[in-house]
Amino acid sequence: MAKILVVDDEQNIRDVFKRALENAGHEAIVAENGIVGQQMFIDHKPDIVILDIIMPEQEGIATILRLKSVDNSVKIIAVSGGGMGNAVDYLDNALKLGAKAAFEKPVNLDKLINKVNQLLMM
Amino acid sequence: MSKLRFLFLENNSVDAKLIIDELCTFGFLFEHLLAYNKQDFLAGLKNFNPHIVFANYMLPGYNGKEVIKEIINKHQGIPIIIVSASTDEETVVECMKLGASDYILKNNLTRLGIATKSALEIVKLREENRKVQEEIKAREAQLLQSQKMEAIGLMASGIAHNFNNILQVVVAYIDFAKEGLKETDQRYKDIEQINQHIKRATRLTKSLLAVGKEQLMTKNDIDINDIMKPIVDITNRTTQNNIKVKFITQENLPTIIADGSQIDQVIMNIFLNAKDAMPTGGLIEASTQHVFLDKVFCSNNAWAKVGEYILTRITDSGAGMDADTKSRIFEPFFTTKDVDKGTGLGLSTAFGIISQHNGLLNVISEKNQGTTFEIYLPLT
Repeated sequence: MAKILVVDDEQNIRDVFKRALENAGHEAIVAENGIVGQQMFIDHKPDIVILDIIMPEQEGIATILRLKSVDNSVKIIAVSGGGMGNAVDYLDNALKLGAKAAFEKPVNLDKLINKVNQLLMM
Repeated sequence: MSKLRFLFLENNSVDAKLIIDELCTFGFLFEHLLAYNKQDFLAGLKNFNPHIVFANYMLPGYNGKEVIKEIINKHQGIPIIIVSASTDEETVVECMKLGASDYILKNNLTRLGIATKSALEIVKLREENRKVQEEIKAREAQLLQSQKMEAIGLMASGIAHNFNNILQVVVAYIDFAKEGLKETDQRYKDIEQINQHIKRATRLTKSLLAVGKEQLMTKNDIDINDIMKPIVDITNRTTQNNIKVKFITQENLPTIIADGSQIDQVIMNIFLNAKDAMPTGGLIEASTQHVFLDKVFCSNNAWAKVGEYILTRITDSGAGMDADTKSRIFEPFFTTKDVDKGTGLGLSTAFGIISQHNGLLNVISEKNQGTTFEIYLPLT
């Protein structure tokens, strides 16, 4: 069992990701924006962070940089539904900045859980 | 400069010679046509294409007022100078009111040269003014179009973002709902159906994100014919829809720097539209050529910069479009096709792609006259 932090500004998405992770036998903790997520990362030391990119307060790209400054080996899975630019661009930047994986929303839950498990083994 | 063309309506050949001499002395270089009567005059207006008309006021059966009305009604823009022996003030005023440029007395031709010069200058200024107005109009229209596309793109991407988040939740609950169900279970099959439609919705939001916004481009040297030929071949080989393609190209067409797969998408889309416009079959004429867009072209087309372009033309023999449809075809979600046939995003995406390549996608069409798409892509 691993501890996974889900950072997303939408409650419904936090709920379903949490449920899917728990169904897969993991512990899931959630945060509603980058600032809260960053604090939870420091407090709870999760094994993996599933991170939305477009969020109010502190968005995902800045959050990646902050999390990496806390722990350079952090394992981040970036997810984005696109927005004022192309989802692919954001995710591309997320990968360049050190995210281990990136998915466009909507992502199939099996795929997401498989990626979580794969990263845990690394 | 080419010679000016002066048309004279004068039944007195001595007077005509005096008038023509006066204009020569003033320094005009012109060729002239002398009409002695109404019939010759009307033919001259039509065939000689004069820059200016000099008319005697009193001709048997044809007076100056009629001359002015004829020109104002049917040959607008040609200045008329009345050259008359009559000094009746009322006539002069009336002629000027009707639209004559000037009124010169035969016994005092000294003012004729300067009057002619200023009448021609006014025409020139009017023409320049008209061109400027047209250019302003064209630029305004283009600005409006790009602002419209930008606003639509912004709106579309905002909707797509929110919609993708909703889809994410739906996709998750579909997974949860399937838990514990056997694949043979009817409920499992129903849920799978929902899944299939979610995939359609996902594709739609992806194309929404592509509308009116920068897409990642992988630019290479490409030969437009490498894209055209396979599309032409496959269309010609597909026999059931009774469509033939005639493709004409230039030898040694230069390459362009472009994203091949995006250009392929644009051309494919135009071919599909052409096919849809010809349900009972027909001819698609396609061509590629190397063109140079000069200053004149660029001054009439705000998007263009002077230089070399590849022009690809695709013309169908289909139903064509009315003006209203034509003005809207690049708008997202505008479609004349059945719901299951088109999303209305194909041409707006195509327009975005070509604009991003600093080119232009242009459409020429009239109802029942077929449709031509022109793609201008710069060489560099």
